[in-house]
Amino acid sequence: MNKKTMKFLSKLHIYGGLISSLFFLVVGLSALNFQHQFLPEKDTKTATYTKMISFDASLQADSLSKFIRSELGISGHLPKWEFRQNKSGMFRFLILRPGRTFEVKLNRNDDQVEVTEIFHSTGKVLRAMHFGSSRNKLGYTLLDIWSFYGQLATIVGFLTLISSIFFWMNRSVKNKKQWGAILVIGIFSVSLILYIWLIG
Amino acid sequence: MVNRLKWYKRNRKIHFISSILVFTFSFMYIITGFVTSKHEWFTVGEDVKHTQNLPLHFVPDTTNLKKLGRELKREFDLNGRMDYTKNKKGDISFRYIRPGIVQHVLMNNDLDSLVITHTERKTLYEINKRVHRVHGFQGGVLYFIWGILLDLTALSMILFSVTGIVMWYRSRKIYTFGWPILIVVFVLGILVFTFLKF
Repeated sequence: MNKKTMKFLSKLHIYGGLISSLFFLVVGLSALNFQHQFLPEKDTKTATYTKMISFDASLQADSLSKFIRSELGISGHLPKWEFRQNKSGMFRFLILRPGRTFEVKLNRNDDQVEVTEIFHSTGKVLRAMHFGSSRNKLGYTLLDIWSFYGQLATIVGFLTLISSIFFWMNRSVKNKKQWGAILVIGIFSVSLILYIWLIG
Repeated sequence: MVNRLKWYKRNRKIHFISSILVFTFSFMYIITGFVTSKHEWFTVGEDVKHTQNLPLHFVPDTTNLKKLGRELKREFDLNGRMDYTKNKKGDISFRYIRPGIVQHVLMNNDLDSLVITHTERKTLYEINKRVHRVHGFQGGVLYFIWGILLDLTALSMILFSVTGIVMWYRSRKIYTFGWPILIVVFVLGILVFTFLKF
């Protein structure tokens, strides 16, 4: 391999590695936590406040929750399976966004809306950062940038990984025994992935 | 100086060995992770279900559900990682899961017949997502090995980052863009963590 190519690959490997380093740290740590749950998982603290909001009491749960969410100025998902309401007019729903859950309680007979803000634990926050490379479309610019960074880090990380083969060939792997070991580990891993996928 | 050189060599060795150990798995996780994050590019697909009612030709021993699950697996040619539950009515259900396919076996209270529901969603996206999400240690030897490899991959991701930054630091005068890249990336990480946590 000529010097120019080697120089280019070194740059790609080092700069690519630096770009993806933080994402790999987050993903590595959260993946370990998926398996062993060593980080705190319990929600850390809550804050409750009330707000007066005029709304149309005849609205269906779906429309009412959307209206209240917009009046509160909170972006987040409204899971329908979390809607709770009874005949006396009580209505409770959740607004979910990465790192935070908002529990909203109201009575259709008055304008008082009670919001409980639940702050997620470190374990859940890291999980949200792990999943955050999927664009959440909630309108938080910072999370959109993180999502873009996550996808960029994945592509760059892929190229960095590929480039490491050239370093194995030119610098690190010293004899046939080591190549043999690489081949055995590679074949075993590919076979395992295929087995779990096709047979399970 | 000698000690520093030794430490640097050890650091490089860790970087190299961890890259060999988990190259294939890292490769798989990077590709499946990317596909999962770009769900809008792929067909998600819908579940295709079919159900069979079958008589049971043997008397099942419900005192050992793990063993019974394995027997059912052999008898009805079921594949995948097994889990099981028993509800208050006494019905026992087993699930055999592999990427894209879930087989659910419901054994009624009389233990004379069972219902097998086969649910399939074999789109590229779904299989990819399921392979990416396999974790934990239960389900047999191969899943245990998978769990260990996942741990090693995750650990290597951390090691690659740390040892890589250390290796770059030694040659920072050549690779001068390293500082701005690291500062931007880590400031972004801190901001996102702070935004989510506080």
